[in-house]
Amino acid sequence: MTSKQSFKTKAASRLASLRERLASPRERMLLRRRALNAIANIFKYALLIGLCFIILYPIILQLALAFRAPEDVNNPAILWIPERFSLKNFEVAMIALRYWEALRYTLILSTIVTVLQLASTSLAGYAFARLRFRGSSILFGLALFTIIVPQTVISLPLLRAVTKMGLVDKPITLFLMSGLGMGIRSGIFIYLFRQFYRGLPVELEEAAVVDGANAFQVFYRVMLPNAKPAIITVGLLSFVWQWNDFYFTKLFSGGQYFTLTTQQVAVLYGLQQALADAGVWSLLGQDITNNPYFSSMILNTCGILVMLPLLVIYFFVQKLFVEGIERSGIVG
Amino acid sequence: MKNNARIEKLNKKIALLSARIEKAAAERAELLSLATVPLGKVFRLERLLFRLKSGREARREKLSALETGSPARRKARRARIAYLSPEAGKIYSEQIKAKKEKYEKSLDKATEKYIEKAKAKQTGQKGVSYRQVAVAGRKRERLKKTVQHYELQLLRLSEGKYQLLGFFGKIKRSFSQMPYGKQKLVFGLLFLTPWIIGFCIFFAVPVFTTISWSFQKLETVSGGGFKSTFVGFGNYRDLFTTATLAGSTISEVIVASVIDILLDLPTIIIFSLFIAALLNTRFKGHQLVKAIFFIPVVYNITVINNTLTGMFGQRFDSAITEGFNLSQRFAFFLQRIGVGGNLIDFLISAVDRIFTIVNMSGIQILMFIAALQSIPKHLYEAAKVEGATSYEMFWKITFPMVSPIIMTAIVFTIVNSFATSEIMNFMTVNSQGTTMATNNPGLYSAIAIIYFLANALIIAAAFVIMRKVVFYHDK
Repeated sequence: MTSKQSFKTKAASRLASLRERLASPRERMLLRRRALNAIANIFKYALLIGLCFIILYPIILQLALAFRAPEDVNNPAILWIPERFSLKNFEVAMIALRYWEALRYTLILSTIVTVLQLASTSLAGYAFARLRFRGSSILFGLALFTIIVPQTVISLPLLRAVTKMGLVDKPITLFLMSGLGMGIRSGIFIYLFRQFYRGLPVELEEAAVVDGANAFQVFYRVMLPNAKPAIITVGLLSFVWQWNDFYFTKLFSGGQYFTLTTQQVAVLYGLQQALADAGVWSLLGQDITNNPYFSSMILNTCGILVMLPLLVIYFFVQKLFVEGIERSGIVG
Repeated sequence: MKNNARIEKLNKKIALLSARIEKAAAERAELLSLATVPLGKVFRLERLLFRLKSGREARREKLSALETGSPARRKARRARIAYLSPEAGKIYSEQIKAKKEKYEKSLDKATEKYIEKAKAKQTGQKGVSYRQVAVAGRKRERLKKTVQHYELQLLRLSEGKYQLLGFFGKIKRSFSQMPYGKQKLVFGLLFLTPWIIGFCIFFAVPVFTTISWSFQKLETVSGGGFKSTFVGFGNYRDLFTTATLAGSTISEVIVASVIDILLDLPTIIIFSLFIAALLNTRFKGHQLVKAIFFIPVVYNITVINNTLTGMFGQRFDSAITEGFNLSQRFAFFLQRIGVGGNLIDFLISAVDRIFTIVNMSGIQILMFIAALQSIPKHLYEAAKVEGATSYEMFWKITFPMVSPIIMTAIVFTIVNSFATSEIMNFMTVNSQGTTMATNNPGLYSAIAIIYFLANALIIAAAFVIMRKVVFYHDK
């Protein structure tokens, strides 16, 4: 009783004070502005939450599916939250993907490719931005041309050239391409680096030159430490794109050097065979393994397993990444 | 005990070094006594001698410190600069003197010639151009510099301070003496060499091969290699008349892809610019929202698509659409208020595509946020003082400042959406083997060229449309 009473009196006093404030025109304006702001904020948050949901929806969906027990595959009563949690899907998917082996290869491949891409594209970007000479703008035009021409267009002659060099089916092809600035979307990285270096003040360079640095020292000691945001952005993108790349990895490093993504695609087209090869049949009953829903579920779990390490890495570097983007003036 | 072992070890090392020094010194003496002294070899030996001696010296210091028991933790410092010995210096300076005299003579000649030419030009003789005078002058300057260089060397030798440098040392010195402009050129070329090599091997050659293949009929010959015959535009004719993929001809596929892209492009650009403007403001939880918005950059969209189009995806989709049949209701609402049919179609397809659009605009959002961040704040302050509304500020400040990056984003979007469009199915090599393209490289190349041309055409159109809008700083 008492609490209700006190609430009532409180509300009454609140109302009275509000009326008082509304009397003066200045207060009225302030209040109106605040109310408008609040409405705009509600809209903003509603929109953002909705969009975040759209982005997160597939991931949530995948997770909800992955933890479902194989026996519940056909149960239409279960949509989101699994009735019986089970890790059996993960077990099967890991065997089908040859997970740990593939993960090791992927990590090695992506890391080396990222380092090489960073080295080649940052050098080229700096040369295009600051070490200009006659004809360098033509070369830069050619670099832009490599962005526009998709690499798939030239992949068949490229494959033939690589085969002639005797490099086919070896990961060194990918290393060579990224080290020579022709890796996956290297043109974009060169462009990003060039724009970034152009945005750095010329005074920095001049001060270093006055202090007796040569051009390489200016790059290595002054420009590179300042280019940290661009390096983070390019490094992450290059790592991710190499991780997710199927086409080139499959084309050039063939069957011996499989990554998570190539395994995922292989499983996509030949799940039954992959499972039979892995000897998973004995783990589960016949009625489950012949179910198309079951293959769909395993595929989905494979998808999660492939993306999981990347997501973990992303959430560790995400703060750096976001800050890096905010400070890298990737502007023409 | 431990000290004794160390002392013994050091003693051994010193003895070894002494033996090597003696050997090198003997060799050097032998070389110096020859009729024509091979100076390069002598220089190398002297550098070796210097290194050995300084190493021995450092070890001796350590030894004495150990024996006396003084605090010998400090590392004994080695000398860093090797100088030429007086004996070799004498021989070398004679050689240099001879060279210098030779160059001085030619310098005298060049000076005479230069004066002669200059005088001839002044008196207005025929057949003498300014160019000739300048060339003569430049030659004279060059010779003068060479002579100066030798003079400097002689001075150093007479002071006994001629520094012995290895290969890298010489390169380093020549760089430090180079003017900065020239350094820039050298380093620019050096930095670009990997890219240029890569461009030639992995880009230029394949592009030309593709172009030439598209005009040829290629047949695989047993034992590897191709047999090619020139067929002109035959491949292109085949492509548009007979080639099909899953029942649709290539022209249908191209038209469908182009329409897809033209629908997606403005939506993606406007959407990502809008989202970037939203994310650019500081609000509660903006870190988290940003982290979520960049997930599509990381997440492999093909993986998601595969799951969503799988059997479970359909079940979930139907469950969701039953819940809120958004686009249908939206269309109904628009028809009620009387908006035209084309616009409705466009909006509905945009709503239906929201998954694709959100997932495809990660990088564009990223670009726009960076662009928004780099707009100087004082522009907005000035506009505010002048009494501009936020609407005006957007169109008069934000939009022009961001417009160059809009162009970049457009190019990126076009390339990206072409790379994921239907047309790629004609070309990609899937895990089940290869499509018809690999068996028929001529046809493949023709598809590739058509693909590229369609791509380039849209980009060119975008450039023409955006040319008036885009604002550049340096213009």
